[in-house]
Amino acid sequence: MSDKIPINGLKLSGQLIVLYVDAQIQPPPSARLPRLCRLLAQHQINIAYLTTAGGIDSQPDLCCIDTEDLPAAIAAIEEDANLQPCVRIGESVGLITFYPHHSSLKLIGKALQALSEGGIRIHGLASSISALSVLVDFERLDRAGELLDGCFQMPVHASPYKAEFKVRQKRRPA
Amino acid sequence: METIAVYWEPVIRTYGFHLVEGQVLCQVKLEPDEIGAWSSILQSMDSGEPIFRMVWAHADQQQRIKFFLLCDDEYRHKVQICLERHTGLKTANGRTSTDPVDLVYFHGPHFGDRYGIMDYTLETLAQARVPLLAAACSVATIYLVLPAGWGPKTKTQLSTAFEIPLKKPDERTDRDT
Repeated sequence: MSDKIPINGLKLSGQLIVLYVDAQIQPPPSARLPRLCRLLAQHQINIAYLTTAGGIDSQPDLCCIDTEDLPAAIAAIEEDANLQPCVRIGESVGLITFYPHHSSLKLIGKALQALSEGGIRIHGLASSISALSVLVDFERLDRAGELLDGCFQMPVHASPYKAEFKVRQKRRPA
Repeated sequence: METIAVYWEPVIRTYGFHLVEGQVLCQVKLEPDEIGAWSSILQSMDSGEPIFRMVWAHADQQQRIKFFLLCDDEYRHKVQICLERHTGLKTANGRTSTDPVDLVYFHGPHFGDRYGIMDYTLETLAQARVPLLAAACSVATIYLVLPAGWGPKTKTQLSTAFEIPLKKPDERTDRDT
């Protein structure tokens, strides 16, 4: 009997860039992340993934944006004298998302085991209501997909791993 | 080919806010070579029950990972036993919090594809001076981890800021109140 856990789908994101917001540099945690989020919103830049634990941990906040938005994000951050010292441009990454997670620790453990044994570096992970997303090096994203495909039981007619279209919000010109 | 769809909302819509109070916060620090052992521990902790409410993790530049998990208090003992029982973790830096936390989470249409959602959320929290311990934006869900007791006020504050579409009378079921 296969020990593969059945899931309904697996998705690979496009290329993203990590922005790290340092926890050790002023302004304080309560101000840094809101400032960055406001800046990105003002420039119509979507946050594809974010984790912050400034109230309980000293690690940097982790924020991922689309690679296409990086030039605009850099320009905006460099103009903000308070924020610029805190933000570091990180790695090129991608998200691998699979669902449903059923709040199952076994499923998370299996995914982490497959990825770590496959030599995939894990930058972060986070659950959503029904899915689990793991942040990996973008150049290893396809390989990560293969590894998880091998340890989960996919439906017979699974939808494509990579999106066939991109959703993007733009403000209508005045 | 480009397809343009027009969607306009005067107030950001969400499918509703979920509040879970008195959560146990579990934190584990992992060295890069401990991920395999930790993945085995996670698999051994599974008993078929939906144990976690939220999980997240982040790695530093040395690839050390901090893993966080929120669960109901009824699972605290199970989590603690497994952390103590398994000696595969060299650093053994795992603990559960003594102070409970509240969790508020919500999701909405294409939250993961639209800008400004988290900005609007944080602004709403700031107006109410809500202290945020941790947060995550994953797919279309936003999680907010708060000190115990702050969950209800946070939910109320967010409910006034976002729009929660009401079901039409003929769409309601017996479960709706």
